Amino acid sequence: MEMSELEKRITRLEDIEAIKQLKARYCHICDDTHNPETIASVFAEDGIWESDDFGKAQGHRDIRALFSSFRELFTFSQHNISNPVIQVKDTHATGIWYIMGPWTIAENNKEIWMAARYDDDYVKINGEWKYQHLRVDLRMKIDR
Amino acid sequence: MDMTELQQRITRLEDIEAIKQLKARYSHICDDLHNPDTIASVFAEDGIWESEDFGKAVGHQEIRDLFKGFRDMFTFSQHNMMNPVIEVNGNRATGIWYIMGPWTLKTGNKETWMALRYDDDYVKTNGEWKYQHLRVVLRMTADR
Repeated sequence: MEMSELEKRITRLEDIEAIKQLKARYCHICDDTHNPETIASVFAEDGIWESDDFGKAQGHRDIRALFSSFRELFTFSQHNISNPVIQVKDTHATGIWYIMGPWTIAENNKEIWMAARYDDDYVKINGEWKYQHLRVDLRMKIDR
Repeated sequence: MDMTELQQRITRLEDIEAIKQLKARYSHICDDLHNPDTIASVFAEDGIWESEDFGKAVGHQEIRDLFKGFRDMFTFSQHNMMNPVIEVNGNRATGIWYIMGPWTLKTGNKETWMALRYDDDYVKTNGEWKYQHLRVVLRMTADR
């Protein structure tokens, strides 16, 4: 097995792990009451956050504004992610995830469970993975 | 790229996987009715289990006692671990995790969901990763 092939295989595993950690860090930001100050750090400059159920934002400013609105909408959440299927091709990658967890809606202090699915695109910029396009589809919502 | 650097990169990935498996084995022990006979095996000799919500124990003897207490407190649990963010630095590492799952309290046979977050320190001794300091914070409970 030649060196450059070994290197490629290691790089792919490192990229997959890095993307898993990117996703987890995204969740921690969301669960820090959808912190609009930190959310842009995980998106590319022209990155997109998109959901039929919750809105669409492109670029850091719009994403910050969207997250400011989430901060008003939800008082609690825990973004538990699982089932990753990550495919890497050089400096681009895709990822499918499940998420399920508790949310509390500010308006009437309503406690719910939601289950959703992510289909994301990622891009590696200066050695660091970021979201290029986050797409999330709500699959289930139920009172706690 | 020389062999030493490749080796270091592989070791890091192996360490991350080993810590994920440590966390899973910890969960299995917890879900084996918080088995006090096996819990010490995943902690360093002077390891710490700590939670504002559930208590603190330092060293194997105290950790066994704490888990005997948990065995009396809970008749069922499933520690579903998610969202790992693991950073390795030589023989030390840190890990952030989410956990969510069902518990049943002995008192009142009360069935609950709990969502928590771990911020852990790990240490590698004789090639094996163990908990140096487990810290867990309860974020949410709900009736089942």
